[in-house]
Order: sequence, then C-alpha cells, then structure tokens
Amino acid sequence: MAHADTHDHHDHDHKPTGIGRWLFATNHKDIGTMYLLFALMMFFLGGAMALGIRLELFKPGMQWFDPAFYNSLVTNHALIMIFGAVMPAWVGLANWMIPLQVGAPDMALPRMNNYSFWIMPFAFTLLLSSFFTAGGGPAGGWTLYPPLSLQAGDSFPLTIFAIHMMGISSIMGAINVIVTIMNMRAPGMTLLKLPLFCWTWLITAYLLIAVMPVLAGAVTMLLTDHYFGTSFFNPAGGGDPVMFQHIFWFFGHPEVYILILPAFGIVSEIIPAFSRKPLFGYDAMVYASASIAFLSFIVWAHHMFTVGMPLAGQMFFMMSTMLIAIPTGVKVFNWTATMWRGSITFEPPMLFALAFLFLFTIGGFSGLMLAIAPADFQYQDTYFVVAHFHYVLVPGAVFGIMAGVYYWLPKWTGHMYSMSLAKWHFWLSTISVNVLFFPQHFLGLAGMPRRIPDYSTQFTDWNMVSSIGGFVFGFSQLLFVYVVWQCARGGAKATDKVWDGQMTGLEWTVPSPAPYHSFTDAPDLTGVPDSHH
Amino acid sequence: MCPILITEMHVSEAHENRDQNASRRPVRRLAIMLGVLAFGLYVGFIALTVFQARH
Repeated sequence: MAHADTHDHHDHDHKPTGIGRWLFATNHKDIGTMYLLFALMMFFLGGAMALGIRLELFKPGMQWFDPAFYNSLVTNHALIMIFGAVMPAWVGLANWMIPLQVGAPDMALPRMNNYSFWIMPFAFTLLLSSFFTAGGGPAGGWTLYPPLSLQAGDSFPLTIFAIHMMGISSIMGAINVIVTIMNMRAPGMTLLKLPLFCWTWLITAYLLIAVMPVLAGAVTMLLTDHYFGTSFFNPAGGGDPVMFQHIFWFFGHPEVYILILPAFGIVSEIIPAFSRKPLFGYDAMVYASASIAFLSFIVWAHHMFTVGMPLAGQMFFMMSTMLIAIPTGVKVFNWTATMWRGSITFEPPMLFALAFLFLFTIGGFSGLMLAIAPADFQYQDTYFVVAHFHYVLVPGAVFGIMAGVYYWLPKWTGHMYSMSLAKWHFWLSTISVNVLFFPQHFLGLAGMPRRIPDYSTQFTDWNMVSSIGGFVFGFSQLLFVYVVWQCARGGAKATDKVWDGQMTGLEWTVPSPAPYHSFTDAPDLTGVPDSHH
Repeated sequence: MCPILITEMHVSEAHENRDQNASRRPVRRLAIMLGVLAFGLYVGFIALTVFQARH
C-alpha cells in the first residue's frame, strides 16, 4: 500500500472554533484527541491511587489510610485504569487511526462518536463523586462480588450507573469501529489488506459488543438485589453468589483481551516498520487474533477454581486456558521472526514494542502457571496474581499505547518529539516497572494476600523495593507528558512518512500533521500490490 | 430516522463526496443490527440467570 492518491488538504481544513469544536465534535481526529487526553488524565488519577496503595504498603502496619479507604483506593484504581485509562486510550487511537488506515474520511457514525465520548466524563464524575457519599467510595473490589459489594453504602448505585454508562459508551464506540472497517474501506482494500491495528480492533470491537451487555446485566441484577428485593445472588432467596462470579468472568476474561488485542496490532505494525521487513505471517497473525478472541469465551472459570467445581470443570478450564498459549505463541514467534535479519533501529516506538514483547511474555508465562488448577489453589488471591496481571496490563497494554503514541505522534502534530527525552522515558519506565512488579511474584509465592493494607513483617523488604519502583515509574510518566506537550507546541518538522522505516499504511500517505479532513476522495487501491504478503 | 444514526454527510464535505462513492455500503443497517445484538445479550443474560435460578 505504498501508493495512494495524494490529497489536497488546503481546501478542506475549515476547523470549527471555540468550545463548540470540542462539545459538538464530529471529526474523528478531534474526538480521538479528546479520548486520548481523557485517558491520560484518568491514567494519572488511577496512578495517584496506585501510589497511595504503594505508600501504605511501603512498610507493615497502618501508615496513612484507614482500611476502608484503602479498599476504596484498590477498587477505584482498577475501575479507573481499566475503564477510564486503557479502554479510552484504545478508542482514542482507533478514532485517530482507523479512518486514516482504511482510507475513510471519518468514522461511519460521527455523531454517535460524539455521544460515545461525552458519556465518559459524566460516568467518571458519577463514580468519583461516590467517594463523598455516606460510607465512602466503592470498596468491594472491581469484581463487585456479592455479598460484599451489596454491603456498600450510598456509593453502590452511583458505581452501578457509572458502569452502565461506561458500557453504553464502549458499545457505541465498538459499533462505530465495526461499521467503519466493514463499510468505509477504500475501494480495493480487501480485509486481508487491512493494517493489523484495524484487524485487532475489529476483533476487539466484536468482543466488546458480546461482553459489555453481560457486565451490564450482572450489575443490573446486583442493583435489583440491593434495592428491589430480588435474590439473583442471595442464597436466602434461592439465589447463588457463585452465579455472579460466572457471569462476571464471562465478561471479565474477554475484557482482558479487549485491553491487550489492540496492543498486538500496534506492535505488529511497529516491529516490521523498524525492522525494515514485511511482517512475518500476516495471515497467521489475523487468525491467531481471532483464535484468542474465540478462546477468551471458554476460559472464564479459571478465575474461580477455588470456589469449588467438578473435576471435569477444572480440567476443561485448565486445558482451554492453556490452549491460548498456542495463538499467543504464534504471535511472539512471528514478531521475533520479523526481526530476524532485519535492519533494526531503536527509535522510541520500537523500544516500547520490544519491551512489550519481552515483558508481556513474562505476564503470559505466569498466566500459564495460574492456569494449572492444582497450583492455582496456592496462588489464588496472592500477590502472584497481582504481579501476573500487572505484567500483562502495564508493560503489556500501557506500553502498547505508549508505543502507538510515539509512533503516530509526529503524524498528529506535524513535529518530531525529543528522541533523547523519549528514550529517557522508556528506560526509566522499563527499569522501574520491573522493580515495581517483579518482586510481587516473590511476595505472592511467599503467601502475601492481595487487597490488604497491612502485612506480616517477613514481606517488608520486597514491598519496600516494589514501592520504590512504583514511585519511580509514576513520576517517570510526567516525562511522557512533557515530551507530548513539547511535541504539540513545536519542534522539527515531521515529513509525511515521518520514520525512516518500512511503513505500509495509508496514514503515511497524508501530510504531517494529518489534515483536518483527510481522504475526502477515497484512494483507489484496486490492483495495488498487497505489501503484507 | 433515529438522530443518533444519522451520519454527518451534511456536516462534512468529506462525507458528501463519500456518499457518491459506489463502494460505500449502508452503514446504518449494520449499526442497528449490532445495537440490537448488544441489547439482546443484555436482556438474554438476565433471562438466563432467571432461568438458572428457577431450575
């Protein structure tokens, strides 16, 4: 796809002005920018809560917070990072890049796109305002297991409605992504010519539509149990609290892939670009992504081996979980094979993609350990689990977002950013994230339980190390903000192609910065050789 | 026509051009189908839980 029509952007750059440009935005680039800024704010808010947690855990004994507030920090840190930071960041990147990559002038449903975004600030205002209600914020964990979650105070309905609003926003965003990719592709762009970021997002969007309603149903039933006398999850009325766990994880496990699949797509674009080789096994990458998505629906009960289930059930969920290692292994193999004998350079996007490759794999391996049912009885509810999913989500999903931002930022702003500062950000983040999370494996294997504000003194040393890593990681992210801010304000002019690499997407055929209206005339790719094969 | 599903063809010249493009297939039908699917899953899972509780 090296060739595409050039675009006269001078005639179409009529931007709305004032606050109306943002409130009534229908332009995919404006909405993408708002999503990304919102995600960044939530990343710092959730990060501040994480620092509060690490502060409390720096040494044994109660230091800073009372236990109820600590539980609120843990719960809101998770809800904010998942629904407020990582998911909106992906939707922001999708908004910016999918129309540019498929050669469309905008998302298919721009007005719905506006609604999708503007629901989010209200949802999180609702969630955060619950801190000021009687009984404090939600404190039963992001999993909202009854009966604990039903014992919450006035924060309960606010949390439930906030989750409903986030779900509606996500579903509308997912519909927009699917319709854009299925119906707005440039002529000649067949599905197997799509950039992998579009492919992984397409699969992610289907996952979102399949499971967000399940979460909405689960929390609706919690609400009716709490206020309307139903007994879905109340044994006294014939209900079953374990049923909630099944429904929650039927949503929750695909949700993990919703958070990570777009990162697979970004890494699949960055590694070939900076290795100066076509991606090894494009078709296999597509099929592996689809396989991971399918398998994500049949593994949910590995989160709840210890509730008690028949041996056949344990065996099924153990085996099906292990099967996920196959398509994931295909991906890791293909990324490595892409780099094999490539002319590799180490610009910041490539550094983050490489760190993703190594560190996400560590998270994957600890996931395999947790999948083994008899071993999981030892690991359940320990810091080993915390270490596992943070390896998947921080140097996995968050590094994937960072890689994408560093890859496309010059295309958005028209300026190059400071390579040296970005590399400082990379090395500080990569070293500190390991100092932060690797010792948590040791703590978990030694028996330290998760979600507690105090611990036995034998866990002190590694908790101190982990907290130091946490603070270095947290403050390193200020450098990221500075790099982005500096790049938005000015700097060396970025070329249209931006990088001296092998980039094949349509986004590199538009000028830098990308004009306000791009692809007003659809590029015709009919007969253009497919660069993936 | 549901206002949420009206695309911005009148707002953006880009979409006007796009509308004349023969390759652009109906976007609304797919969007509505996906929305109905999502709502169906929401109601369906609650119904499934009721069914499970009663048996």
